[in-house]
Amino acid sequence: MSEEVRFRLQQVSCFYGGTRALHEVTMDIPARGVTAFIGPSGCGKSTLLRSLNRMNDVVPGFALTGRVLLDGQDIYSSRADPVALRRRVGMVFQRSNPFPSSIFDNVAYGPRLHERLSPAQLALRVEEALRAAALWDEVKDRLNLQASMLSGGQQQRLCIARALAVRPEALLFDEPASALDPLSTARVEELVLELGRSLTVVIVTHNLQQATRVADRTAFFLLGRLVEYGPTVELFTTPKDSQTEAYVSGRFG
Amino acid sequence: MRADTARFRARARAIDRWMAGLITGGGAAVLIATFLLVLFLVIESVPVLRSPRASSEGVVPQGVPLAAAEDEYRERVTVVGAEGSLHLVGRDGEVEVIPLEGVQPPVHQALFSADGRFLVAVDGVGRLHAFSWRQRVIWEGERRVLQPRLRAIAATAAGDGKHLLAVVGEGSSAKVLVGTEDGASVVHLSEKSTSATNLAVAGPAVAGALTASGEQAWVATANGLQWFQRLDPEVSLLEPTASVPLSFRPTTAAVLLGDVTLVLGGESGEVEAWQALPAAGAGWRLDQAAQFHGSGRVIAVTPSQREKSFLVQRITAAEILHLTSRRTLLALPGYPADAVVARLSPRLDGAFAVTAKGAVHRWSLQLHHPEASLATLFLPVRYEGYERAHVVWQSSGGSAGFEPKLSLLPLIVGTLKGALYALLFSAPLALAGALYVNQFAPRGLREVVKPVIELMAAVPSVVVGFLAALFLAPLVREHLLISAGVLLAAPSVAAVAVVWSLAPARWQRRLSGARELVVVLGMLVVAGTVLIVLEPHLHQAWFGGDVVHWLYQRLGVTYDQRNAMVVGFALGFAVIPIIFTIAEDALSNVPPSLVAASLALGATPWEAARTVVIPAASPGLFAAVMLGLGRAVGETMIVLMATGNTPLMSLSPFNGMRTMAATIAVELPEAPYGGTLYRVLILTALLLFCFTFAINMVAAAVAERLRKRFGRLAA
Ligand SMILES: Nc1ncnc2c1ncn2[C@@H]1O[C@H](COP(=O)(O)OP(=O)(O)O)[C@@H](O)[C@H]1O
Ligand SMILES: [Mg+2]
Repeated sequence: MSEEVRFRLQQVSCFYGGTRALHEVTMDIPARGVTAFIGPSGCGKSTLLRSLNRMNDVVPGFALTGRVLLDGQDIYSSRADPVALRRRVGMVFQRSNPFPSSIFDNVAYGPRLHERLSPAQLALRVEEALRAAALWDEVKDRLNLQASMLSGGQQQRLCIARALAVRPEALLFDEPASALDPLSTARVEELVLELGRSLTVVIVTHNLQQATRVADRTAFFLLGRLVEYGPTVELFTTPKDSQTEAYVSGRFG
Repeated sequence: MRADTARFRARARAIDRWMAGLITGGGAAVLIATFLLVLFLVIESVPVLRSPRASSEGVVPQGVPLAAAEDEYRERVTVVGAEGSLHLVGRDGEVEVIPLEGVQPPVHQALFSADGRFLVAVDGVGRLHAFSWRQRVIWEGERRVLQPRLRAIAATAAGDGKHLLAVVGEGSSAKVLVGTEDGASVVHLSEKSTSATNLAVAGPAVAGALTASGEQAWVATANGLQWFQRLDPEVSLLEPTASVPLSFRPTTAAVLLGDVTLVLGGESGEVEAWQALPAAGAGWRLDQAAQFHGSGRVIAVTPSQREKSFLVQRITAAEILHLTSRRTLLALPGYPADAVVARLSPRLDGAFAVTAKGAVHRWSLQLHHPEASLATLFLPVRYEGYERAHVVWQSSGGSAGFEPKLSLLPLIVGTLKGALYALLFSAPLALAGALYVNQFAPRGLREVVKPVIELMAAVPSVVVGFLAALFLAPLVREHLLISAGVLLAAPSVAAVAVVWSLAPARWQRRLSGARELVVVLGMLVVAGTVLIVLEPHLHQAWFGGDVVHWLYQRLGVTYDQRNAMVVGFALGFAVIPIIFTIAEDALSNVPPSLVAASLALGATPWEAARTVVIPAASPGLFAAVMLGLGRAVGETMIVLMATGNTPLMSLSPFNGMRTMAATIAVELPEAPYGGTLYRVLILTALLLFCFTFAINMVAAAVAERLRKRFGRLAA
């Protein structure tokens, strides 16, 4: 492919205390657009996603073989710094997890850690992130409100804004809308689509419609193996693999 | 099937109801028990502050009185009549008369000793007679009968112009302080011989008193007070040892029980307490210890034979005063204006007065606990023999005349000091340990560390106290430098960690998890070894061989073997499991999703702990420390064994202390039920309860505020 590659995975296998969760996955994730991971529950989508910013490191007994290259650099080499990596590759979790503090403090959390911004700059950064997460108009008058007072969908967008505030190059979504109502889901999907224009976005979903709506490329996993990976339209309309076909046509999963 | 489920449901509901009732009942029982406990403490301790009472008990008329005394059972008042006999006036007015053998009427002066057991009289021909006077109890069936026993000791010519100032006696000898026109003398009468020694008084003696042994004498002239002391045991001479001018005209004097304090009464109603103290250079000086307010010429002062109270007889009133608490306890109600003699009953349960016409008035007294007042319990008090007001706890002493010193402040200070040192030692360790184990430790370590620390709580505190007192305390004393090193270990590791955090991230990553732990432990072992090897040399080189000696010589710091450091360590041993366990639970309750969010934003584990975990767990961390404090305040056995139990006000880490809990444990079993000490100890228990209760309340309130501040945590 001529496109710029953000993540290059080479024979990545993941283990949890000796149990293999992923089996020699090799794939390239381009720098622009949205890439979706689909597959039945427990097939290793989250594991792979979390390997992209080393969030699995904190899991006791986790091990990874193979190579994960970010812009050509092996992020699992002994010289790589997982903390710096996570600053470049943000993550939004399945269940919204705002800090028990104000909206402003939630969004300002990352910049306060990494940068020395003046209060004005910080306020600007927070606004920018909230605008990018399409939340600004709803909360601009009550930035000091406790984050827990927001609705579920708003909380999830707050988490997106919080991730955006550190200006990542890539953003990983792990079933970001699975706990949301349809209206909030639609707004989050819009946002994912929008963010895909400027960032590398990887989204795990088991909602196939969602994948077709937001993803440029889709990867289908089954039992820890990458079964098929290609442009979303092709994967859903003319799957090369029979298992993929069975899955996307709703015959199992 | 359906019926089965229905029956099951019904049974489950019944069990639910039953359990709810049980739990509610149990909770209520606990509340009621606590309430009853507090009620008991209040009921038993509040009487300590009850005000004294006197009630008048009727009047019995009789002849002209010169002096009077009462027996222990308050059955008869013995009045010395001018016609030369003793009148024993019973409560029913029945009078028994016993003639004073060899006394020529009319008797001019008569005087009883403070304990009422010796009587001196100057008769019509100017002879001085001394008697011992006792009333023995015999039982006639069920009836108690007092059998009088008057014995003449000796008589001698007194001469003209002399007046009796004081008499003390012992066995079959009496010493009489006699005032003359140009001074005073002590007449020693015994069955074998009679002698008199003159005192070098600077003028006519107006008032005077002798200590029980007669070895010391106080003599007041119109404008000064002198103190005489027998310095040479070979010679029975009392030598003038100290003197002081007086600002008022004295009329009477008496030495209080304990032979330390002299109470002087004055022409215009002054009542002052004086004592002899060692002077700055050498010798002695007289020092005013107390001043009481009141008006009306003081006729006589009679000390109580029980404690530090005394009766002040004025021309129109009689009051009972108390030295330690510097209070007027009460004025005798209905005191007759023409009273000649007024005295306290030997057991301090009554008082009587005899009027010029010979009417005997009696009062029964309930002084309760005069030595305990809010002021003596909580403010500095100038006790006998002290230069200044002090807060002292010394509840019992060797002699009957001992002045109980019941200031609760040293106990409160000791309690807080012990708790403070314990927390100083244990709170940082336990909190940091909990954070490390919860957030940073390699997997598996937590599974080992937590149960081990919880096991610490299972060590009986008596064992901890025992080891601290008999093993740790001498060891620390012997190896003070190493001990200091041990205390510095944790701060040093923290300092190294701070420096290390500035090192490049790449180096830091090399040293994570178990490797980090091994390096830190290795560092500690190396540092400890170096310290052990170096210690003797350091001793020699810098501290002249002995650090404790050096501390005293150079810094004036006294070192007790059982001191706050040792106690802090031992108490810390009891407190650490509490703080650690609760703190670790609080940290565990922080949702991992919050930590994940923080890490995903590029925070280091330490940053995540600092900015997310600690704030979210802060109510629990605070509660952990407060519960640790509560334990430290209430802990008894460890402080009992490891503090040395000296009630000091010092906050020095090198001195011991005495805590409230330890005091209660040690002294309550010995305290007579219902006595002052008993009540004060119960009051201490009540205070202790209030302390721990307040600590828990504060902990709960602050934890609640923190919880509000950091919001409700996401699940
Ligand atoms: N923290 C963990 N510890 C042990 N096994 C795990 C852990 N997380 C996931 N797994 C296992 O790895 C496999 C893949 O899980 P996951 O990546 O979460 O699947 P998905 O996100 O596709 O549902 C599953 O079998 C799961 O049981
Ligand atoms: Mg998943």
